[in-house]
Amino acid sequence: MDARTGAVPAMLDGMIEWPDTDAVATPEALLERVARGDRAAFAELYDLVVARVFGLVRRVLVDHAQSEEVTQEIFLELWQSAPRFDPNKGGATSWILTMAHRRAVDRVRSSQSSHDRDLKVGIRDYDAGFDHVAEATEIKIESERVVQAMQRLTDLQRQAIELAYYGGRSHSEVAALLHIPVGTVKTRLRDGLIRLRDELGVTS
Amino acid sequence: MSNASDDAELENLTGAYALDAVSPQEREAMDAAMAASEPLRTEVTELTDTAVELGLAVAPEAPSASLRESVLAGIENVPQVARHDSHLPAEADAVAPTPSRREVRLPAEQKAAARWSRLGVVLASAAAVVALIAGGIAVSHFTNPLTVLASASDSEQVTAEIDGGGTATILWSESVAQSAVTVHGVGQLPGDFVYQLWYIGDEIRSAGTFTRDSTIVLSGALEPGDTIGITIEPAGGSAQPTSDPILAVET
Repeated sequence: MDARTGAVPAMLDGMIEWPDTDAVATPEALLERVARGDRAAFAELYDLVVARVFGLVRRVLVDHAQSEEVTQEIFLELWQSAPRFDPNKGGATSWILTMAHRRAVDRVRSSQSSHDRDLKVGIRDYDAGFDHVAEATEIKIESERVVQAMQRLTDLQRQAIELAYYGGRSHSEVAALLHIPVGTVKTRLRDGLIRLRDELGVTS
Repeated sequence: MSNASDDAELENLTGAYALDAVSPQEREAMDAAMAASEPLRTEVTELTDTAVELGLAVAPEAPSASLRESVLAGIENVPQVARHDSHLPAEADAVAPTPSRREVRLPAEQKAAARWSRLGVVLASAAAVVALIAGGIAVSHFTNPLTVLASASDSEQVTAEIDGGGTATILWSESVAQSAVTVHGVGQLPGDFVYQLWYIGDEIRSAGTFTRDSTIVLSGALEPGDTIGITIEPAGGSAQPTSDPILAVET
């Protein structure tokens, strides 16, 4: 009897403590609340991930004002499409950064901004004395783990991936920049990413 | 439709796809191919997650503090989408990062669809509209009528008291030639009556009916100088108003 009465509070304890663990708001938990129209959760999520989003967008777009514009678009879309997020399919940050990158690249592809951006990138590279390819290769990667993994790639794989992902270049642009056929670029991008996937231990 | 060489071509494209380095046509082809192929889907999902690692490796950078305010004000205008809703902005499909996420119809999404039709959307405060425009956001890709309205450069908004209780926030744009009304706190009508919306100009045009608190994009076109009115009408609505308006707002 004593043992049982001892067990019951422990169970209750466990149940009662659930809301407390919620207090540590993960992006997933916040996104789930955002999906239910919770604006406070949206503000919290913004605070949690905006520097990641803006950092990435800025890396691709270079221009500060444009990057803020696109960041605003991204969060607008994030709000709109939050009901579609499925936590079983991956993390919230992953979902958000995928969305962010695609948006940034969309902006690069729009002709006017592409022109502006080329100008900015041109000025930056001129200042720094880099050649065209250096646009991507001089990028400072913060994560040692990713740096290590990138070093396992061939030079062509690495350059192609950097130009595509950080430079926002299409495969045909990468092909033109690296003076190799488009088909080869596609293969390099795939082989390189597969290698990275294995080095980083990414599984679905 | 597809043959072996097409499949091989697409299979070779998974890396470029995950890095957003494909053309829109290729993206479409890939989306379609993935819907039909589990292995392709798995590879793309893994490579997309790998691309995210590249994104996470970039140093975070804080945007200017004012962006937060613009973003938070901006969402006041924007309804959330749901998969099975006809109001779904076409653009929203492009948002889902992987088809595996897009094609699975989840209970949560069905719930969200129900929520969208049930809940109604809080319309913008005038300040929010201004903030959205001042933010210089590109809105041309929005297809949701509410979003289009709220984002129009000439959109205006008024909140007014409804006779008999409740408020109505009316948002309109002459350039878009549309308007929307969010009613809040209106009383429940007997079953054989409805609230009816009207565009009142040279002639009076019915613009739809509703029965409880909700957000309605008025049907028909707003003409310059129209007054937007609400009356209580027999169920099914009337061809012309048969009672005094409980709300009349000049645009």
